[in-house]
Amino acid sequence: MENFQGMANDMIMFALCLIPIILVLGQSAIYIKMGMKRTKELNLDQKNVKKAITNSAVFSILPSLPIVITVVALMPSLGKFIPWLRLSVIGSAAYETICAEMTIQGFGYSGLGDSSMTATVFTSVVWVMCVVSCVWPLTNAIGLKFYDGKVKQSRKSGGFMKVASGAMMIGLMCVMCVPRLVNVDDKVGMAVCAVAGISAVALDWVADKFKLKSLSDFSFALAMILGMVTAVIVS
Amino acid sequence: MENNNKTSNYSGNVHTVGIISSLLVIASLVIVPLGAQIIFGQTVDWGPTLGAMGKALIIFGPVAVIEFLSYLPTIGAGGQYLSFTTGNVMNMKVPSAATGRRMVGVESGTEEGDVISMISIAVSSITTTAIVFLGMVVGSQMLPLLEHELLAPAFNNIMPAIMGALGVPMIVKSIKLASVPVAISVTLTVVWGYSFVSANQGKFMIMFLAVCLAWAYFLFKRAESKKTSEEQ
Repeated sequence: MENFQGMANDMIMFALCLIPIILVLGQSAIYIKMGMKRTKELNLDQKNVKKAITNSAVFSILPSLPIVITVVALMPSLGKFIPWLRLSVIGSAAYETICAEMTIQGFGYSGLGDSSMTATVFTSVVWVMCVVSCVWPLTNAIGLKFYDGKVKQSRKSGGFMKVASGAMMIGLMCVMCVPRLVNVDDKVGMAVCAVAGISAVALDWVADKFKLKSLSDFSFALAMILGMVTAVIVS
Repeated sequence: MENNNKTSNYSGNVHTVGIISSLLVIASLVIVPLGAQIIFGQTVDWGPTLGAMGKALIIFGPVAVIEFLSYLPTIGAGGQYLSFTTGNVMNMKVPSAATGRRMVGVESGTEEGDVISMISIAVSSITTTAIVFLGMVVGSQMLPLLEHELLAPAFNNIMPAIMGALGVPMIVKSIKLASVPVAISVTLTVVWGYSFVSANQGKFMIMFLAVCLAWAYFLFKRAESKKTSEEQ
């Protein structure tokens, strides 16, 4: 049986992987166009909207680098193109490694990194990684319009719904942020989270006190970088 | 009247684009393994393949449903359609939406907030896709730099950095609203450990959304009755 590397690194694989990526880029471009038109209808300050766009692009650079590391780390096990596809479309490092590992082990191999994997098994890995990820956009396609209608209806009735979305965001932070602040098993992570958080609050306070709009605009990115620098210092 | 028509057209269009693009992305993701199977003449052993799919769905299916319910009020419909086709929602899309809204001076849960979230997330998606593509092309040359022992701690701690910078200001700004949920979160983490909380993130997310909504409702009702008695 042929080894998977030839198939995984073939330009046909590249062409197949390019299709979903182009669709995702197209979706983004359409939404930007629709959104920009809507901001004008809502009389939002266009200068600030353009700043938000620049900020979003600049902010996304650093967090993309760990994704690149994951793509490159998975290349020896899954070829050049499947990690690229998977981490660009409905991907996350955890999801990709778990799905790939489960499939490969299901065929009796040791796991990701087993270079004796055949092209047939590789095809199964691609099936599992691609099909299971469809569950996310499928929930949206089936239920988001209905759910959004209900949320908008509740917002119109005013009152409590105005505070509900802020409350839900706090709920997310109670799972994603607060536990990291008290994770005594990872003191570096604790320090990073605390420094980034305190920096963000301090930078916002300074920006507010001295009316420095540019500092306010970039306080999040600066705080994140200060957190990361803390990791380098305390490690 | 004209404004209502424009709002309803816009909202309808967001969903039309979202549903069609989501279905197209799903179809294109099926084409990848199907096309590879046909072009390379591979025969798939469906037994273990479907077994692995089933196991993965048991783990990730509930996560998808929880995320479906959680993110909409903060990033809006357009933001959610985009986020669920590109991934990396908590570490990239939610923070970029939050900073975009702050720059424009709009709140989450408003029409303006939803539009800005959508635009910010779309820009973030394009940027990430471009960088990951470059990474794929020059990947092996970049890896020694990205994994350098000096830089490695920084990249290994990007999630704590993002979550700290995003979460702490939010909690400080709404300290009353956050007080009880944060106290519960700290207690659970100290008692059960971070590993347990992290491994059961999906369940805790549902729990904290319920706790936060209940506590927010209590504060809201208390403020309303205080206002009513002051007016009397």
